Amino acid sequence: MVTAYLAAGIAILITMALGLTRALLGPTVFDRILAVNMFGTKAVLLVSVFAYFSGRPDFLDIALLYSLLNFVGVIAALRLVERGKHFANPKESCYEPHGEKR
Amino acid sequence: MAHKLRLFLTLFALWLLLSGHYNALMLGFGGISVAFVCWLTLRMDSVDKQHFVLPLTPAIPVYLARLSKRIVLSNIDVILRIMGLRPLTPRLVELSLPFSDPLNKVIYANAITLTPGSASITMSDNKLLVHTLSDDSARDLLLGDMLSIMPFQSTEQSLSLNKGEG
Amino acid sequence: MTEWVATVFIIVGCLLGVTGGIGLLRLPDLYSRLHAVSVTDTLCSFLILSGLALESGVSLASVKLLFIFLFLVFTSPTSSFAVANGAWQWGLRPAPSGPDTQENTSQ
Repeated sequence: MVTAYLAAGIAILITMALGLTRALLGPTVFDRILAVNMFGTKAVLLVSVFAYFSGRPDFLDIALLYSLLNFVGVIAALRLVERGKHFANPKESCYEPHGEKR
Repeated sequence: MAHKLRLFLTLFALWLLLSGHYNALMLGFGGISVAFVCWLTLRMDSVDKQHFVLPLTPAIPVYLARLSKRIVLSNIDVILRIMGLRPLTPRLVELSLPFSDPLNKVIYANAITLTPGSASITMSDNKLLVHTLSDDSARDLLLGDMLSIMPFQSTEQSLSLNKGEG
Repeated sequence: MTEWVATVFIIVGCLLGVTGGIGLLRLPDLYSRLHAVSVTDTLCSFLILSGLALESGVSLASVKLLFIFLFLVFTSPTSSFAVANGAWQWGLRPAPSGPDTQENTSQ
């Protein structure tokens, strides 16, 4: 069973790396926020799997708390972008016909 | 008063489930913190009166079961499309909402967002703009597939099938 | 028996998660990527968390896993709607789709 937890943890880490790549690539600030949102969800799952991997169920409380914090963080980042007009470059608002950004 | 008591009992049950400590000192601390949270909630209620009551009817488990089935099916569909085994044909669809009350609107838009392959983008008075990953799910939504599982059916479910291309 | 079911749930959930991550990288625009994130938020988290809950049976840990799942399921549509709505209000429009969408994504 420990092997399954280890494999699950590695798979979740790979998913987090893919999400982080999307967060670094962008192209718009909303892609980054979406990727960070998924990163946070995967972090919750990783902490839960790690709680079982290490045999300490106390870690589940951290996962529970993080699932709440992640949501609040995403909403706060969106409010910052929306209200403060920060980080959102209007030139990015349309796509080229081939799916790539200008 | 019944509302306050119910709030206190619910929060205390939640505290008991999450803490797992059952000696007198810890129960006392838990009671104090739950009372503090109740006070905060009531204090915020005086500012924010916006809440909806969800009627607990037997229709809700049926709705959840049907929604779960659709979620599983559309998960498989989206996975196949990501893998490239099925074509990607993103579409923007405008659905007309046959409801006037906010609760039904929220349940409907939430169900659409929760199923992968379709996500609600913006909502005006009685129009919901939905992005779908495929022509098939766009067609299903236009044919009222998600409307048929709503737990609180309203009488005026006339579907005017107007769609907009993105 | 339960252990096998739990293992299968966790492994399938992880595969779904990795597929969702690939989709996040591979799909052409923000609105399509929402669907990839939605996959990882619903079925993937359900399979992993229920696999863990099956492993520990009826206990406080399972209750906590149930609460984690409920929080994720209630917040994930809200945050993905907030992202989509914010992008739409800001003026982001989906990439034009055509018969050649498939080629564009597999660059």
